[in-house]
Amino acid sequence: MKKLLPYLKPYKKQCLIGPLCKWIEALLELILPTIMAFMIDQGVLKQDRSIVFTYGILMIFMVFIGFCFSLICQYQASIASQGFGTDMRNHLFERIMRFSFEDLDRFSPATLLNRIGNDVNQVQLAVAMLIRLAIRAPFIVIGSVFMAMILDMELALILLAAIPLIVLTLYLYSRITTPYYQIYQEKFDRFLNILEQNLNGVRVIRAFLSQAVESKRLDEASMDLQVQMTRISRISALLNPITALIINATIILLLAAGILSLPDAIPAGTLIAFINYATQILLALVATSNLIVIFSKASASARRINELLAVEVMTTNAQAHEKTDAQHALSCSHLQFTYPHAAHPSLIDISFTIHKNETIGVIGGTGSGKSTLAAVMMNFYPCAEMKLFGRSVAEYDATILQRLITLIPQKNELFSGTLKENLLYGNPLASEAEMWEALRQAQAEDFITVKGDGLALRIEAGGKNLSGGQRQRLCIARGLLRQSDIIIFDDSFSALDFETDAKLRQALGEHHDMTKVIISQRVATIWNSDRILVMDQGHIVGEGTHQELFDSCVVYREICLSQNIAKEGIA
Amino acid sequence: MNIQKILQRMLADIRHFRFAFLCSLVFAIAATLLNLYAPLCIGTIIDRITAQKTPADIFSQSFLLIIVYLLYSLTIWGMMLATNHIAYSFGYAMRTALIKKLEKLPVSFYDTQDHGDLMTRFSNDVDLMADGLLQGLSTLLSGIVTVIAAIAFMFSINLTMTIIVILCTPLTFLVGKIIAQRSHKYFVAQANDLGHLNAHTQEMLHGLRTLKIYGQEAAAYQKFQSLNQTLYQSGQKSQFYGSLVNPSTRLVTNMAYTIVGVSGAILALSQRISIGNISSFLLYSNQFSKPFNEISGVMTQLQSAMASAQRVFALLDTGEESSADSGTITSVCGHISFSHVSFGYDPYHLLMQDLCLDIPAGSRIAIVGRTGAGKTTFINLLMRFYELNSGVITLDGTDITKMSREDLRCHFGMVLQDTFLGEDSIYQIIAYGKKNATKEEIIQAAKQSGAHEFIKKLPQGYDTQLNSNSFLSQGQRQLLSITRVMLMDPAILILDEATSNMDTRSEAHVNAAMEKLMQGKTCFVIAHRLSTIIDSDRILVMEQGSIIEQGTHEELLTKQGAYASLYNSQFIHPTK
Repeated sequence: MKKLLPYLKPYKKQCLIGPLCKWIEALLELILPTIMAFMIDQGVLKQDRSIVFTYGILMIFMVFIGFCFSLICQYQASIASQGFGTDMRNHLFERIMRFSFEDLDRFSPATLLNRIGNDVNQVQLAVAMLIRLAIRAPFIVIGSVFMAMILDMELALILLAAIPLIVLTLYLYSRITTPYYQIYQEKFDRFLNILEQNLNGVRVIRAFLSQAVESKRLDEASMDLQVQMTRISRISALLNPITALIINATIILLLAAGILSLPDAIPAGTLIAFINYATQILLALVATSNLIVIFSKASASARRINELLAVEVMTTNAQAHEKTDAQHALSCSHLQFTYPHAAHPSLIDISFTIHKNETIGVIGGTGSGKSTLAAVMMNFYPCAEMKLFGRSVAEYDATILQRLITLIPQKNELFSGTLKENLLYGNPLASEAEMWEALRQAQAEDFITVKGDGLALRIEAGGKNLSGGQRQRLCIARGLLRQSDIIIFDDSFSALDFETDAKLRQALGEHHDMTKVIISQRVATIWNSDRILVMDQGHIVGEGTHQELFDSCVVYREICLSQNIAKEGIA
Repeated sequence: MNIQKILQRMLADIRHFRFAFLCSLVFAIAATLLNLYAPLCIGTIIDRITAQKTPADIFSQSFLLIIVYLLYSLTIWGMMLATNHIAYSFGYAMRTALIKKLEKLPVSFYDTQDHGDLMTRFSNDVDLMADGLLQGLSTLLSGIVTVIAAIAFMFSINLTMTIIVILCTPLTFLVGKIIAQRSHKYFVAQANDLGHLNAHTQEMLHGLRTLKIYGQEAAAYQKFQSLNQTLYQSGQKSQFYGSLVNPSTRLVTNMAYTIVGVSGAILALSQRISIGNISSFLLYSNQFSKPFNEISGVMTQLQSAMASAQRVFALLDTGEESSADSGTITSVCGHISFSHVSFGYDPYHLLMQDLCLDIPAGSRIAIVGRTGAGKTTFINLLMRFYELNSGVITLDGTDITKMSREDLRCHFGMVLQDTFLGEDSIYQIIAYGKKNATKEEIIQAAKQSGAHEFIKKLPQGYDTQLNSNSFLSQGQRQLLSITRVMLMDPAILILDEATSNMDTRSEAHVNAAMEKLMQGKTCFVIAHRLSTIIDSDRILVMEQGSIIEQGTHEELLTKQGAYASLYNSQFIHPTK
């Protein structure tokens, strides 16, 4: 929590005024019964009507003033807590936008969303409660004890003894239930996990007639939850009776003190006041116990937020603008690359040179290192040995790098908005004519025309209203629009049928001034590239044309045969 | 569904907890009466102390007070236990009903509903319902009893004062209502703004890698900031107005306290009541207004409980799959025919029209076509995941709608692209389709499929527990799902893109296993890779829901139609 305090700085004023107003309101409320007692003693007993009216008006005035002060407090609290939350969210989002690919591997989108959303809200609520309540409860407790002490020092000792008992009860309560709540949370995650599997696997479940089995599994998880909740509720049901017992025991002790003081009796008024204060203390402490729950939740959330804040955001001072070698588009020699925190290297002893305007195929099984190679080429993960036009990729200024090299990733990510807006991501300056040209080359022109809205076509979040193949083609069009010197297709044709795949590659052939790196698992997609790199377990195990590799590279031949492709390229 | 109906339904569901309900009612009444009686006791003791009575006299009264307090703690404990029991059992019962419902919902429901939203209904909504019920019940119960008892006690003392108290306190209610009405629009605005912000955040986080490739982070941040600012506006207002409820009710309570005190004093001046009566009334006026405060606080909670109940009930009321009598066919040979079948996911937009097809038992059918051509639809109809709009599909001459879904589906084995294994031991996972299989049978099936090799090497062999972040490769998972089908030994097989997520080497293993599996069965194979398709007895080429060509590989190639162009396109060179 402490680390988040600086974010409250802009709201220093609110954090001071708010509690101060609350304090005044509590003070007025504390005095009210005393004035009432005064009115009765002075007014009624002495038969003075004017005193009754004066004090009556004074009390109404006090109640109203107290209300005004509490309004100011609530207002300050809303400004400070909402402002704090808004700043926090902005700050986190801005930071996440600067996360490196390595950081993104570590934090899933779900957890990031949860932290920006839910966790910030928890802390925001805690800030509001801190301003609104945190000052009130302790003040009432201390104030009541103080007033009691003025009335009768010895009797006040009984009250003072009761307070630690109640505090201990509340402390034990939260100590005992917190782990139970944690277990509950785990069981809850499990339940949701099974539920999600059930929702996603419905076809298989139905096909295997396993509805009953799955229902039972879900039911057991739900039962588990119920058992855990019952355990918690048994404990929490004790809280109220026990605190009541303590405070009532205090009242009985106070009365007993009164009885023992006979015949020299403690005045009745004092006893009544003490009983009143005891009840007030109880109420204030119970309110505090609710605060404790809010604060313990908030501190768990703060921990999760801090984890994000602790991530060092990369700032590069790479500023190179010029290529040093216009002919060698990409090259490296004996490159080795290990993912951060990984035990074994993912790329081992990689050497190759890709010339300007060449078309290079990269093939290999899953986990052979193809996508890692692409990520290193793109400088997603820093690797100084990878040379782009003669210079290490890491040396280029970010905007220049984007002009030199583009990747069309395996996962097709489109954003909600119009088709045009999506294409503009590729190149903010592209004209409509250029967009249509890119769509034509990406084999997307036909289905866009059929849909009838042209570039104004609405795309839903993640491109949900399009098929996998359509999304992929739009992503290719977006990448082509960038018109970078080098373009990497990372398995970008996987969702296309063979006919579209072939037509697309034919259209790409029109781009003579573009270096293409095509990564695929299908031989048919890459077999007629200028050269093919064959990857296996992080190594390049073959390099050459289809015919050459078919004869010389065992891995390549195996892949070809499994896909019914012969040396001549025809089955 | 209106609020009254929802409430009625919730109450109907609570009926199952009649005993607990009765207990909590009895305890609530007892606790409240004890709580109201204690001040009278204290008053008497104080009076006797003041009157300097003998200790013995006072002790009997003190002993009574101790009993009252002990009983009070016991009764509120009992009340908490009973209401907790009702609320959590209710939540559990709701969840169970929802789980039961899942079994019966049609597959189309799963396909069209947002899974995140469904999961919210199982978790958040049920919890809110149970919490609302818990809070609502205990607050209402003790509130009503307190109000009635306090009125009775007050009447016994003085009529005029009672009327003043009764007139003052419901003001709280009114104030709360006015604030709720005013703040409602800000709460709605806040919920909407939050939804927009979350949607944007989620989308940007999921697409962050793409954003970074195209250097669009700044634009995303800018939009986030503006949405966040809008949220700040509505959030600040709704929080402020929402937080007014507490001070406002305190204002009314304190006003009532003052008015009762002053009017009591005036009445006392004319000797109509005693000073002791004033203090009693001050006490009772607080007791009397407290439930109103609490009820107005619980109102918001009840409102969200109602909203959640509506969502839960809506799910419970969703139409179910129709069911037919079971037990018509025990074994089949796998002869399937489609006659004049028409179907569309949207009844006004037919995808498949007048499809006729006869598939003899034991033949291998490959289905090819572009994405969206209707291959998966074909399977959906065959397995009765969806119902036909018109026409008939028969299995061994029996209309499949005349069989129960269970009877139909037990003749099918499916291997899909996404392997669904669940969390269990390898034994259990393989026995998924045949629960009574012996260990020998299971191992036998694994040996046949070739899965035995890698299972053997697992730390606990067949007893190894799999979970969601399992260490198995895609190929190994697929081998397990094939073994599962092998054990079931169904008459008909469906293989839907079973190897498309796999690298070529694992694919070779899986293909070998599938080849064994397919022997002697009617098979439907959907694949992207034409190599898997060439050996089929018949190839169906689909486009826009209809079959545009069918025949063997050779026949279709000589036809030079759609299949031939699809097949040849595998080998077109871009520069040729």
